[in-house]
Amino acid sequence: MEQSAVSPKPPNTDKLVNDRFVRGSVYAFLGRLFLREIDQDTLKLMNKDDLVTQLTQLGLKVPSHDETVETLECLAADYCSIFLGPRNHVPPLQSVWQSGLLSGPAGDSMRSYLEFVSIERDQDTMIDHFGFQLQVMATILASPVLPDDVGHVATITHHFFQQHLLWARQLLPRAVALAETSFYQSLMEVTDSFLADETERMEALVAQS
Amino acid sequence: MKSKSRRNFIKLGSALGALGISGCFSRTEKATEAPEANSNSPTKKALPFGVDIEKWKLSRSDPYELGVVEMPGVCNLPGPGAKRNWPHMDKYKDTQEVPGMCQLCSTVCGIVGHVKNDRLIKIEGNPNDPNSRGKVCARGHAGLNHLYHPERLLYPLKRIGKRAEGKWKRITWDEALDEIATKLKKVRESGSPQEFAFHQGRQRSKDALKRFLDAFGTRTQLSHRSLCSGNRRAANLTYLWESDWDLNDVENSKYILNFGSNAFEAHQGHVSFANRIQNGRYNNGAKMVTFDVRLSNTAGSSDEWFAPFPGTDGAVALAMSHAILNAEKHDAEFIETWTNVTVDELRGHLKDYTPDWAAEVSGLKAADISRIALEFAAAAPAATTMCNRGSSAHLNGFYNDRAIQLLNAVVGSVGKKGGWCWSPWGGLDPLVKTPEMPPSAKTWSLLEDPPEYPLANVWRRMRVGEIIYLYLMQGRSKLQAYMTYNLDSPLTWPEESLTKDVLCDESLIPFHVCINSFYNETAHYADIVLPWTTFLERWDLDARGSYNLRPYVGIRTPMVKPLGEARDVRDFFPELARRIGGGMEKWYDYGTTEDYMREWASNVPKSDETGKAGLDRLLEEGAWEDQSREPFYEPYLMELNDEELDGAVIDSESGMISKEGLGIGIVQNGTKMRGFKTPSRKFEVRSLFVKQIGNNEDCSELIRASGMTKTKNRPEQHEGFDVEVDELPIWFQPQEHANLSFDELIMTSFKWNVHNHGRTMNLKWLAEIVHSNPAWLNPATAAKHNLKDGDWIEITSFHSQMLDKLSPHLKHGEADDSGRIVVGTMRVPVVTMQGLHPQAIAMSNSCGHWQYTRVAKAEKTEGAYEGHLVGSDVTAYRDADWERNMWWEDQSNGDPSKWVKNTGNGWNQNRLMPIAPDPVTGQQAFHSTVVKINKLG
Repeated sequence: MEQSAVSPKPPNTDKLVNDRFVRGSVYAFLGRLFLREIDQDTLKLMNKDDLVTQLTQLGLKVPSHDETVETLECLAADYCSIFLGPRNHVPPLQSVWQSGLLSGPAGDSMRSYLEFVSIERDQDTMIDHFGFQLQVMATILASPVLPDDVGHVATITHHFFQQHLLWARQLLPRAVALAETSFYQSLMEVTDSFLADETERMEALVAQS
Repeated sequence: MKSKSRRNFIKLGSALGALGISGCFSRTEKATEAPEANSNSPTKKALPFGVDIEKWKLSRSDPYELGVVEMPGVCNLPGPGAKRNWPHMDKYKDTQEVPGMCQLCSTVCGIVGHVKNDRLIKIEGNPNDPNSRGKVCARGHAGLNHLYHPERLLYPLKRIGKRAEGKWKRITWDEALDEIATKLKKVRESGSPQEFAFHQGRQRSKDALKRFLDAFGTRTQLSHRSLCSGNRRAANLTYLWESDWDLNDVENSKYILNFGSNAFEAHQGHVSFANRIQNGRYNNGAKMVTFDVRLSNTAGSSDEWFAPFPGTDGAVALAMSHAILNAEKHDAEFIETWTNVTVDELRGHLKDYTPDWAAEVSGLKAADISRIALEFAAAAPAATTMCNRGSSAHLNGFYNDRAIQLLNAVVGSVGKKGGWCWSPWGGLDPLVKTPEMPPSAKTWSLLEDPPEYPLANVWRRMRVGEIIYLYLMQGRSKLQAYMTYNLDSPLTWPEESLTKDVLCDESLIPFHVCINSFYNETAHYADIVLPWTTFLERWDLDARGSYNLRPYVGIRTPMVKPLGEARDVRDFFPELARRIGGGMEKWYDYGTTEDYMREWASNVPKSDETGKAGLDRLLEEGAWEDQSREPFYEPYLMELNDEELDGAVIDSESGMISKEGLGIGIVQNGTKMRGFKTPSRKFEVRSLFVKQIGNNEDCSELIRASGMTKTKNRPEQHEGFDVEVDELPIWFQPQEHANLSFDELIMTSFKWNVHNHGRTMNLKWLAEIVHSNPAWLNPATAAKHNLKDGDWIEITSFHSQMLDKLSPHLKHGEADDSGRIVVGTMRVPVVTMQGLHPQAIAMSNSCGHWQYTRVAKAEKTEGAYEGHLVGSDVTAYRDADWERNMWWEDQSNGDPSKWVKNTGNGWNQNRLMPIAPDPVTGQQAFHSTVVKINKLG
């Protein structure tokens, strides 16, 4: 397969591709927010005019990047207490939620997806990490698709969503309860809302097909 | 509402797309650079990504089903409504078998991991391991829980906020190592490198730790040995000098006399030893008699069990020797030839230690003591004693163990087949050589070598671990940096509250780095926590003193890639050393860890069967034993060869043979023999050395005569700290044990067959079996206090009165009205057991965690009942159901009247234990503590 970057500009002529591109961007962005703590660059990015407006409209409480040192420390502590612990946390790892232990069969399934989805991965990233799964979905959605393959990609997208993203709807309410900052509380809510919308959309697509 | 939300997400997606955020937006990208990087590019750099449809068409299998998955290694137990509970028959088919060595207790059994799809799915014993012979206990099987525990530490963490506040943030390994290196460099350059203390719990990477600490230049390497086996080791050393570990040849024995060892459940030899004991009993007809305050599973499996008054094992043993000598059933030839006392001297020394006297102090019958003694003598030389903490962990533990081991000399079973044996190889076969090590550090530290304890460090560096927090609190020693490793001292050390206070005090411990696989009680008091690999993810060469009486080499290998960012010290110490610099880095020029292991194992010879040698052979077989080497029986009879005798000098009067001023043997009956590696070349019933070393006298002559040049005189820092040590095995009773009052009992502790002290209660398969530790009381004792099963008591413990006089440096805390110093109080339920001495109270250790995962704390996750696990079947309680199936959660909210039997995570017994080192060796006297009990409610 030719591995090429995707055009940044949504091709207006192709509604389907545009739709995938737009959704893929949301997955990619959320994936970043779940994979690691917010750093100064990401905070700065979120505060860009266009983006902060959209994020705010969705209900995300974006911290101002003027108060960075304390804000970042506070956000890092919150991220840690929600996802990393070291105690009473909710690991954002599918295996834990599905089978109670790390590196369960969800990891095997993820590995089988990565055999045909090429994505750059930090080798220390847990393969069934929700943030990484969001990024895999983003990659699937951003992948160039030949007309003959549209059906296949739709199937992959649907399967992957069902198998590796829906589980997080159990995680997110628990994470909301643990979050101490409005940013992470709202991030969980926005993400849950996004997954709910995606579920609805996918069900509709399946019904159509 | 939803359509509005969808529109907003589309707008967000468009805005993100315009900023170049799509596809894989990874941590390696700089978000702010993305928009400016190239307005025509979706990301800063063109990442290879996308879907390979053709590959997908070829590789996809059946849709992956949610919620009906098998867990690694789990045979789901039948639960209410469960219909199918057995793993698929092909589950273990086509697995890759990877050798390793367990580390969930001290025994280090050889194991084989079955790996499938990069996941460890089963652990079995390795039949090639000569010591454990393919057996592995419940702890070993639970290694899967250890590796895949959902609350494992996966990333380096840095404390924010106050110490022990529990607030952390993730940092990168680079950040962690930079910060640690900066601090350690400062210590190293301060001129006081000993103020960097490394404090280990159970460790099996001795070479890696020693390399780092010696390269750094500190000798302050603290351990838990004195909390474990210091007295037994010291007692062995008085007799043998060359070994601190008796390896009882129980498999070939006819009589096994057990003083307080619970080898069937714990013990350093556990699986290897228990297996051979049973072989001895069932294949060789051996009788086993156990003396233990408590009916342990070992005692319960014995042919006879006696419960002596706590701490009187030595008295019973001396009386047995007396009875054997009195009945002329001793081995006169061995005593006269191979000990440094005569039969008459021994008889004279033991004359007052009669069975009647022992009966009085121990509560046993004199007739039983004599009968067992004579049975033991009749079975000799295929007869052996065994002992461990039951006799050792007392204020008189050193003498208890001296007395027990003496019995073997009296009946002449020392070094005999089926008798009381040892080997000079406590670890790896000396054939394997570590790659060049740095020279040993030369520093001295009060924490590592407290001058009050003369036998703690002269033969081996056993140290006196239990005093370190007290000495820091007293300001007697100072630390700049403290690194803990696989240590859970707040739980496993005596005086929990003092330990916590010191760990929390930044003026006493300014910088604390904790290396561990889990957030345990020690990590809670750290400044930086480094996620450590499990023993299933790292390299070591390892071995224990083998009951085959010859050395071997085993290998620990990474069975799977470390999870998350967990790393082993072998992996990050080189990096840390390079960052500290100043010459440290030169000791890490060996390449990768695998290169290091290859060099280390290079002398393992070629297998005739496979043609493989060195590391490759170990990777295939897991262990190697030189079977051409004879078992180490009667080494003292070995004749010296011409090469050994070349240039040797024989003292015509004593028969001692020396070479270049160092003893090498002795002439016996005209034959030049190796003898024992002691100053007298005999089994030293009378140890002049311990008397002299206790008084800080120069022992150079004795050391030279033994040939054991690693034995040291006490350093100048010990001057003025003289301690009277009796040269012969004696027995005395700690003063507080005489005349106990009505409400006083002596507390004893024990381990279960499914736990180690502080590192297994987080493992669900094990915690489900044992998770709580009510206090055991004899029914007669319970009746005296009007107690029945399930009633609650308050236990109050006291500092030792004996130590108040003998070791005033330990004194801290205020005395109560009766003049005694209280250590702590604790409220616990009681369970009545016939199997306990009426003047004892027993509580197991391992329980009472307040950190170390929800399983260790027996806390279900909030809301877990509502079907937390995706797709799980609420009617089938499965072991894999980590959170919901914790049926032992305590629902009483601290109200004893609502407490349900067998619920909760128990109590940390060490809250009650005083710091109580044996004045001779420093071994913590865990079993000598006097407590009072009061009924609650």
